[in-house]
Amino acid sequence: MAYSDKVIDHYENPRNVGSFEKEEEGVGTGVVGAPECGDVMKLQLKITPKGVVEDARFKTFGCGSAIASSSYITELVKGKSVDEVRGISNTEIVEELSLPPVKIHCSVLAEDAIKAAISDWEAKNGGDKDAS
Amino acid sequence: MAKCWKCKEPMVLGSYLDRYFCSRCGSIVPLPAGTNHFEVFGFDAPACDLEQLRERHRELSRRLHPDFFMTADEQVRSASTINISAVNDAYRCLSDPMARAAYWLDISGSPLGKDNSSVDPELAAELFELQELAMQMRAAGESPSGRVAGGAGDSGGNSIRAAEALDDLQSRFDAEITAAVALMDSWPQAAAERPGALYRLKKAISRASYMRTMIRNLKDSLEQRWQRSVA
Repeated sequence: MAYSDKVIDHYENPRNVGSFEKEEEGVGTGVVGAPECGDVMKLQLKITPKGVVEDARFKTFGCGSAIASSSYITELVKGKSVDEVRGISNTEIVEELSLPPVKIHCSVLAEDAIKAAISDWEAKNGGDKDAS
Repeated sequence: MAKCWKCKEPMVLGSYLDRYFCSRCGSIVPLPAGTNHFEVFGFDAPACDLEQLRERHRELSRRLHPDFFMTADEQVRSASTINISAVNDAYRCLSDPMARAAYWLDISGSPLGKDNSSVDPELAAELFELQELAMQMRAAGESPSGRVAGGAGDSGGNSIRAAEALDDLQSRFDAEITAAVALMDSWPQAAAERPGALYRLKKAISRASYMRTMIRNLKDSLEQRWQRSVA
């Protein structure tokens, strides 16, 4: 199976690899896995009190598409509001990276990671997304 | 009850072979569509005795060998092709415990990947740490100083740590698989206990799957080092 150029680029030069302090204010952490292929993804979003994603970090182990999907979303979410980010669907990732059907679950994993990170952030903010 | 397509008598399923050959007239019978992998070998799903599996696969491969059907009519030849491919697909799946578990979860309506993206945080943290180790070793292998054993980029401790972690992970992976196989081989008869068993199986296979990825990564990193030291 051939990877698209964009997947290869993100795989070879992953953006925003690393992590924030989990306890840091405004940081939401999502750790999710795709048991069918054994990939695990950790996505952290740093969100301002006004609910804008100012920064993101990820760590992923697994196949190239999973790494590329998570690298891509760290760029995609920056500057967006929490609501916009919540609305990101895996099809956006599939289209941007031209993922083949067998790798669609990698994009689903990335979408799950975003949702998990936002719920974590909301939980830290007492469930109120406008909390400052 | 299904009838034999040749003698039109009801099929009697005594041994696993009776699905393939009518026990009255001896004619080959095509497996009905939708026969699951366990039924192919006459197992009571999700149980599967590996020794019996190998034995039955050998016997069926012999009896369904295309040589026997070369001169037969089109219908019979087609039945033999259907059967041999069902036998091979089922064998491939059942001889691998993880594939067997995933298949069983599928046909039980609770696929491995469905509503199952949460990962035990402790296991995730541990695996990410090992991933970092694997990446350090790979980076060291690419840098000139790392190519010298004991060089600046190669703290010899990394390969020892990786080898130890690999052993540990491998034995825990094996334990998860052993537990999953034991669970499948003594699947609860009581309907009330089944959702719990499906959940436990799903979780064991998920943990094993994440460990397997890291086992591969660590092996890759260690092999690269090994290749370097003999180069």
